[in-house]
Amino acid sequence: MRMSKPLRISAGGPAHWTLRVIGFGAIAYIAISPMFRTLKPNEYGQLADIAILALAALSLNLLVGFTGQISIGHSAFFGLGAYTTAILIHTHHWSPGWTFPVSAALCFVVGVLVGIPALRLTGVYLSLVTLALAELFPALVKNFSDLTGGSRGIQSIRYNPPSWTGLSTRSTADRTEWLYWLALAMLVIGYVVVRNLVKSRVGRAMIAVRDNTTAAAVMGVHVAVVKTVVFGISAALAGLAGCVFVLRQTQANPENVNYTILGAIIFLVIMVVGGTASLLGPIVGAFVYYRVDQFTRDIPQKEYLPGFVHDFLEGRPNLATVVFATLLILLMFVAPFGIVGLARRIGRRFVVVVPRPPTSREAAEAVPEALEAIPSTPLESAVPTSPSQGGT
Amino acid sequence: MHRFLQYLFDGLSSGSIYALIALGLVLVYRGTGHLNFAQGEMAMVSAYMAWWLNTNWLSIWLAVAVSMVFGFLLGAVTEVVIIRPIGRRSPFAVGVAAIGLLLGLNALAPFVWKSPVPEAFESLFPSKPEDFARIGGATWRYENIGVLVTTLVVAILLYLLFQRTKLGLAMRAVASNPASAPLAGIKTGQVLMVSWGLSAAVGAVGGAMVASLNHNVNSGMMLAIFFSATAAAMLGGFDSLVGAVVAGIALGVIENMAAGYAPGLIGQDLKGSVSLLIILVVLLFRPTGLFGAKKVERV
Repeated sequence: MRMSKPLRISAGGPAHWTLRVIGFGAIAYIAISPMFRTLKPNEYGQLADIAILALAALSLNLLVGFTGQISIGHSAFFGLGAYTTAILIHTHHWSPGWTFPVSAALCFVVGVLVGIPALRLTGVYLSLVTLALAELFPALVKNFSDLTGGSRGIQSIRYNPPSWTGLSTRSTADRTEWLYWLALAMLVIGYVVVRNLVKSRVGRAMIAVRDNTTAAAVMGVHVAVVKTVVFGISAALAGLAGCVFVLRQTQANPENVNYTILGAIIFLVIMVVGGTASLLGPIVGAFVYYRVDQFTRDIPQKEYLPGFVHDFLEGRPNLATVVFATLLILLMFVAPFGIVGLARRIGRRFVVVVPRPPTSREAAEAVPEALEAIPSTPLESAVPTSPSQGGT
Repeated sequence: MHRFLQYLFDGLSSGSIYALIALGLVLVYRGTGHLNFAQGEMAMVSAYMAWWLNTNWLSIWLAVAVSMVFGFLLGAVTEVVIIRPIGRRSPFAVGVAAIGLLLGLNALAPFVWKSPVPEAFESLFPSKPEDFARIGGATWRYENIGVLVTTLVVAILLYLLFQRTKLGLAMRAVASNPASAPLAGIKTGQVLMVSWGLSAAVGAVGGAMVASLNHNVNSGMMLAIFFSATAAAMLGGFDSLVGAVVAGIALGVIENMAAGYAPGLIGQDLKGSVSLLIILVVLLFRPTGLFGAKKVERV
């Protein structure tokens, strides 16, 4: 079916800004909607979980989507952040808020340290080394039981809402509500950090490194610095997600899925489902992942299914995972660049945003932009979505 | 001395299993350049197949043979139906699809066979408590010897396949130059399909060996093994069959030695991480592994 010609609007023009404002407004509305609608019980908790997953996937997207460094080990940074917060609160009686920057800083340092050896590795090799990290983390936690409580874990980690929020410190519902706002704040911070990085000079350097490392180095990008710093920032954001997660769980335990290799895979899947190298992707991905996961878990209890389906499902475990894995593989057929990528492709049939030609002065100043003139032929990374299309 | 021998014997059998899975990984990587994340899970599903056939109809060895055929079909169908079409769109998506397979197959086996708990698996080798040889004060169990011998037989058969048969020649041609191989009249598609099938069939042997040593099948049995096997494949250079076998067995031995001699520091908890640390160090100095071919990238 051939559509009529798409509407062409210029980037940065009034029409483009209207689109942006509408899009941003819709997202902001969803994010703060709990303030003016009645929530079902535990809905705050679910929203908080979604925000946490989104932040973890966002951190991964910075590394994988925009810099082309594959990590299957972000559960380790997530866990490191979580455990730092847990230990500081439980053993050293810190106020929870102050543990956040400490956790993030620690994760940043560890991320840079991991990033340095990772400089020599690409593709499959890098994914295996990061995977080693994910394998190592729970084992280390169990091993250093003096510090971490071993397999017993650390209990009763709480973050009571401060008095200015007007929320009661006694009620669990109010504590969960506070955690949602906290998770949302962290997500917004993470989003702004990633967005500003990606849209800046550093971002262009990252994308150049992703699409062709050798060419980027030739063009004057300091590949080693870009890779390690991005690794550090990504680790710090994953750690922040871990901090909120451990407060939401109120306990830290090495057996928790999100600290194991499976957690790292879940973050990766969320990122891919939402859209690799898309700013909004991780948030959309986390939302969809969470809802699909919940839905598939409840399938055996659905009343409207015919009897023989119930008979078939009787005594069979893991239905949720089977369905989810099938959907994931199908998605790779339909939309390798995730839901946001698919939406963008469909959207392009109706509206095309034409990049504004740079004025002569800008073109002279922005040396790294010359990289964009190179036709991007992604070798391994295969993330050809042009970031200049506007991430939002 | 007898402690050393004991750790060596134990290490040889776990190393053999790493080698079997690593062989499968190398077969796929040489063909299509993908890391098959689902290799271990394909082996696990094949082991379930062998268990199912064995409990219902067949003797254990026959059941394993049939499960190898099943594994071959599973691998070949995966390549044709999932890997190839997705690979045409994006190589990154193939990795994700393979991770999807890892999750899906891991969940599928207990789902299909309605068994959330481990199921008893008949041993392939004599495995009564008194079935062992005593060498230098250490015990070498017959089942451990059996696993090692099976691995070596599989490795030799693969070597013969690659060096002495037309199919092997075609597979080598596709591995060394995928662009020119079709010009020499090689049907690349078929070769890749067979590579994946073969890889999963070798994996099925590995799965049966693991189940036989554990005396049970369960869906989680290949996860840790898969990671160590990937480390072995990488240590061996990822495109070298000899490398996979040597590195697999070596890693098994090193892991057991490390866990045995440093029980407080490493112990059983961190055993699997030892191999991953080793490859980290090796990759820093030799990014192509011990036996791998150097690749020069042009811009």
